[in-house]
Amino acid sequence: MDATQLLKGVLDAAVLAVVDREDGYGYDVVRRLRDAGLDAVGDASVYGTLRRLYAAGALSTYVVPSEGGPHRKYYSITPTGKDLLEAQRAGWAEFSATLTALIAPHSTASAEGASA
Amino acid sequence: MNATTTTPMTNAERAQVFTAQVRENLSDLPTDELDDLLDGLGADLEERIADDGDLGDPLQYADELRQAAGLPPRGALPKPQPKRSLAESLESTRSGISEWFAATPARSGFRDFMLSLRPLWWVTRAIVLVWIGLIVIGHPVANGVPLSFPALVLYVAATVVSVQWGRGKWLPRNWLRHLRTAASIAAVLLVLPVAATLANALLSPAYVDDGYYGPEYSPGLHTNGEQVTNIFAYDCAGELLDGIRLYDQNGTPLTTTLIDPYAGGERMAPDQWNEQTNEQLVMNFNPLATDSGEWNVYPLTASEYSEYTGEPRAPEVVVPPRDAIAPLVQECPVPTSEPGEGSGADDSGDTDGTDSAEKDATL
Repeated sequence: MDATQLLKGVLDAAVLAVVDREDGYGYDVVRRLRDAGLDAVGDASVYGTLRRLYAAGALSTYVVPSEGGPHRKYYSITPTGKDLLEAQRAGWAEFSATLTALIAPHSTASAEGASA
Repeated sequence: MNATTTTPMTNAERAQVFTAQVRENLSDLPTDELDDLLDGLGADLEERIADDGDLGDPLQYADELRQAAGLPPRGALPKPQPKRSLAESLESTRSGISEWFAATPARSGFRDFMLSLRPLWWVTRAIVLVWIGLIVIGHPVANGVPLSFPALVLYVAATVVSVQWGRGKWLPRNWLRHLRTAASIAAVLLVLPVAATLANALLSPAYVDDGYYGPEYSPGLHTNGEQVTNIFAYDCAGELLDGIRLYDQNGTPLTTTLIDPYAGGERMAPDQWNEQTNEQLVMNFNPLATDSGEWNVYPLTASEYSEYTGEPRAPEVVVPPRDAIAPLVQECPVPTSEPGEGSGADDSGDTDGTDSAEKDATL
């Protein structure tokens, strides 16, 4: 399956987790996601997600001037964002456990299903 | 410009150009939203170019950004027309309402039911408007309802037009459609007063300006609000008179009788309540007038209801409330049997004179 499709549903959680570890600006977040193994993540998707999480109150921003270039907008997580991340962590844990069990190679469960 | 030469653009320039292209592709968004979204993008892009070199397609980039930020796709925002016209607002409300009704089976069932009642509305609309129109031009009303043969013709004609309009026919010009809408709105506003008048006309007791619906109520004779059930007359000397005949200023017999349409509509003497015995008395003719059946001859006789049959017993002469009263003047003219002399004693005309003579005979 296309990793981009899978990523769409959990990009919020991934971005929140990255920013929760350390404040970051847009491309910094992209880079850290890729370094973590999410190669397929698109720049624009991450920027859009940051913007949406900010609009939802999960992130706050502050501007840091850069030498000789345009300023950088840093994102940091808010208490609302932490709550959201916690909820998404729990949701993901449950979902991944369910799906792992479901798509596991043939076991007794599927054999019973076939015999019924 | 440098672009024409072999000198490549700097990273900062490429980032700037790319940002401008992305902004162009997001131009339908509100400006403040766009500023927020692209704030800091230049710096990110510059760094990205330094890492990778390729930024891809600005249009695709813009779409991805838009989608991830949860913003509506291009064209979904009606930006070119910041203020919607009234017609568009109405249309939007209309479609909103139809969507709401289509949402659940119960709602759509209700809607379908109401839709099947639409012909009823077409008829109502016509009647309401003609009704109000007739009232406005001062058509005479019966019980609040403007009704006559010409009015009936108008009602029928308006109903035909209204139903045809409802079916989408007879609307060759666009302004006629507007007229139909205006007529519907007016009818909606006016349907309540008309319905109230109609309900009033149908539910209240029949009363029509120039119609006759049976015997009229005649309340009989009252004094100070109390029903007069009998009349006692005394002469100048204070003696009770019997068989006096009363007439009013028009020469009409003056009686205590009444007509109650709810009790048969017959002329009858009202019952009297005997305070002493606590019994109801049925009034009857004066014995002298029994044969002629005249009610204006007093005093009336009375009879009690029988305890056994419930029917009135035989009429009896009523005991007068005053046996005799003091003479009016000391020397009252003594009525004699000679005609002419007695007439001067009475304040009435000749007939009364002869009556007095008659009375004397009975007394």
